[in-house]
Amino acid sequence: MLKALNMFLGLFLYLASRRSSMLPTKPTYRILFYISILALGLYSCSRDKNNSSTNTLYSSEQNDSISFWIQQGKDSDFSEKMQKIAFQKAYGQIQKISLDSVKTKYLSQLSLATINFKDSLLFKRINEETIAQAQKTNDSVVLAEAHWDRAEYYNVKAIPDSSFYHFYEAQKIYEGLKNNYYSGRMMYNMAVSQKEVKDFTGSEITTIRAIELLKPLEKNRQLYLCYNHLGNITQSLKEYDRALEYYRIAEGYLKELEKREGLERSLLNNIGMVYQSDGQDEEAIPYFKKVLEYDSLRYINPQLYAKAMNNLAYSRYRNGDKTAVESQLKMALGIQDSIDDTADKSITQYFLADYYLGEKDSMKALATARKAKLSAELSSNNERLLETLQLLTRIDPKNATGYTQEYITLNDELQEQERQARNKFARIRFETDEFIAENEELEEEKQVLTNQKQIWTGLALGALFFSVFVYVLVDQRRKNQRLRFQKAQQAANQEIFNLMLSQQQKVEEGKKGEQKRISEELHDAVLGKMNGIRMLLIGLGNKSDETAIKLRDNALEDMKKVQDEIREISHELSHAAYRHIPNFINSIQSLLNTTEEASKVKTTFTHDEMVDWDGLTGDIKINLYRIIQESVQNALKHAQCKNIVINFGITEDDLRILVTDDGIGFEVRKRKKGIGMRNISSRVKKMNGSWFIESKKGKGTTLQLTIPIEYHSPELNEFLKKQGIHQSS
Amino acid sequence: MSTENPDIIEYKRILAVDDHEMTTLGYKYILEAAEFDDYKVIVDTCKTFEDAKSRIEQSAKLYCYDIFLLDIQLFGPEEKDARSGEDLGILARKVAPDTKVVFMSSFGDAYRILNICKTTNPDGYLVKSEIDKLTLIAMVKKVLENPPYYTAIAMKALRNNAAYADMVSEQDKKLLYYLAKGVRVKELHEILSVSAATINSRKRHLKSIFGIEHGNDLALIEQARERGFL
Repeated sequence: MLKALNMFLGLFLYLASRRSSMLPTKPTYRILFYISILALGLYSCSRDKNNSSTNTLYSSEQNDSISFWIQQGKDSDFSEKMQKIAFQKAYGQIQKISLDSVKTKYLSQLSLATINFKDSLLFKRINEETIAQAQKTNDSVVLAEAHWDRAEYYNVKAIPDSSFYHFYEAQKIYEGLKNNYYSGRMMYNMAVSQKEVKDFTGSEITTIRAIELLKPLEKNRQLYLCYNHLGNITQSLKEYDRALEYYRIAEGYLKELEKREGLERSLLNNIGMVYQSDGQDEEAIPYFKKVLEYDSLRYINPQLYAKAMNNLAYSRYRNGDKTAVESQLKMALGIQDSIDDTADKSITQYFLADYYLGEKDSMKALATARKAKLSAELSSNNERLLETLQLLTRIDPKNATGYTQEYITLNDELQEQERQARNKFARIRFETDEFIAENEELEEEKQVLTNQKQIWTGLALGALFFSVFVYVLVDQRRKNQRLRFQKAQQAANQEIFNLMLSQQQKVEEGKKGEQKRISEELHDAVLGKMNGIRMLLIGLGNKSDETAIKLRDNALEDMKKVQDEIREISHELSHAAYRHIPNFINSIQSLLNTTEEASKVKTTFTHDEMVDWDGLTGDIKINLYRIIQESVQNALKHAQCKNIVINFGITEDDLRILVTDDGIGFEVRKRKKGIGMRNISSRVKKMNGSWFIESKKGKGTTLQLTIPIEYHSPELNEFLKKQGIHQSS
Repeated sequence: MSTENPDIIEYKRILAVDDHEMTTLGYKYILEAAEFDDYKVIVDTCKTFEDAKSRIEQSAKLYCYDIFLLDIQLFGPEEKDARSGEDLGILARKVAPDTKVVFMSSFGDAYRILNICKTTNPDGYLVKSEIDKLTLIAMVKKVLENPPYYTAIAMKALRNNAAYADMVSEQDKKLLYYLAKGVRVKELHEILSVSAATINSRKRHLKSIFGIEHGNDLALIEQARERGFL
């Protein structure tokens, strides 16, 4: 009881390590495993103490019921029924788990645990569910394990093609996971399945590939198995030298291993068999002897023991040593009988029959050969069956035809089967490859989709960045434009300011001139006359002669004239004082005066006195000034006019400016716009105004502007005042 | 000589030039009626520049005038004739250096007075508004015996100028001249080839001389004009 428990503990630890090594990234799994191990430890302890199964069966249920039930199920000490109940309970518990990842993990555990359970249906159900669950959760590790479990299951059931398929599936997954160790192991398993159907070449190739994977990992045990397998294949191919070579290499790897007893013996037996098959029985004998020399082999591995004994006896016999051959063979047969090893039994019986044949004991030979045939048939060892049939033709020449017929039929049948199996393997491989290719295609499609997604994301991001960039750019431009506009406004103000300043000076000069004129007039005309009158009156004194009287009358007359002159001057002065001439209007007027002076054109300028012309914004004033300048120039240059009439008027909300000439005119539509016109256009636009030209050949031209009135801010007024320009005084 | 022979009456001849005939007539009546110690006065009148000019020229050859009384403004403002009594004065000095030249003008500004003094160095200057009977007689006496004769306003103008003459340099005068023309300080320092700072400091100096420390440039120019620097 305890022994079995310990073995089971060992197995579990092994499995745990196998699993945990594959799940290094998932600490939760590890912890769960440790909990399981702990639970098991507790369980085994309690078993040591109480030796009571039922007691503990329920006591640890609360802790980790699933793991517990799985352990219970695996415990071969329980009855099959009990085990099944335990597994079903575990399965039932797993079904209740809602978290997929945990469920997958437990299913995987249960799948592994139930491989060797006799109720294969249970395993199959669990395993299928595990596979489905693993696919659902995309847990490739569990999926690979499930395939592995399934393959093992088929392997035990001796269904090599199914087994091969699942090994192959597992191998592909491991390959995808870059797990070379497991990939190599699966390869090896595949190779074994291939050998089963005598696909020796295929098996050899697969084994070599497995070796390629395992060699860098220095997995000596697996390498040993691979080379041993290669030896087996080449032996079957009757390439004994190569087989020996492979076995020697396998022996080399075996020596690297610490635990190797069992393997060493079977290897020795294998080597012996190579020699035996090669007819070198003398060489073979020492190997078989060595196998048999192992201490208590008969109890540890009775199968091998019987095999070796059988082989030794046969080799000795073939080598001419007939002593105790029959008894040894019979002994081996006895052992095989006891362990129910039908497959090996057929060989032993075959050898025995051959021995009897050699000893000319045909009756015994025939009887034994028939037994051998039956054993071969029972163990479905067709190779042996064929050989036995061959032997029978020799033993029983009378029925030789029947045996030969049977031989041929069987041989054909076998070959057909093998070929089919091999084909099937190829198909499996092909289909899987195809499936993989499909997967890869899907993967590629997925990649393409991801790429597309990335492209779209990139494009979206790009578009976002671009729009932000554009926004910043536009904003910046807008700001710049505003700044430029302000600057232009300022420049316009400055320009008009300068214009006004010079105009102001002119006005001042004019005023001064006027003052001077008045002063001179006073001085010369009035003062002179007054002085003269005074002088005369002084001179005349009291004189009363005729001349004197006449001169006095003259003086009085002059006095009257002086009076008139003074009145006149006074009038002029008052008129000058009250007349307000705005600067801007003055500027226009002086512009027109200059024009008049330079040409023979007469200009007439009128303006509405209701408008505060100086109060208009600098922008309007300068643009208007320039437009008048431009249009007057146009009139002079092109119109050949005699008169230009300019009127500054006002409508309800707008200034209405008219520039009319009596020149030759032009067809407005036919005329292409010159720089001058375009300048006017842009200036009007700046003032938010509108304009048009009316003209006909020979009927003069009229330019009409409509500009919204806009007075400048009081601050500017203040500023201009400070600068000495009195706009509206 | 006159005292030796009281029977022989000596006559002093005067030519009065003024575009206003009444003025000259006034002078004539006043002076011819006046009582002088040793002589009598005869006044000839003349009201146009051309007439005055020919008489001055004749004065040297025919009979000699003792005094020319010259008005400065001989044309009305509408005539725009640049010639003036000043030209007559210059002519008189040239052709008849012995004849006394006296200006009788309504101009009372220092500049005009000083300018005329410079060009013709007259024997007298009378501002018309100051003229009366006594002034005229006094003028004739003074001019004939011990020239020059100045009326109060003319005297003041001359004295004013004399007082400041030492303090106002030629450079200052130029400065005032250009300032009055309206040249800006910016351009002025280039014309006078001195720094703008110098110009400002000179201006301050001039203002302090004229007693208008806090006045502007206009006040400065007005003062300069009053004092005969412009």
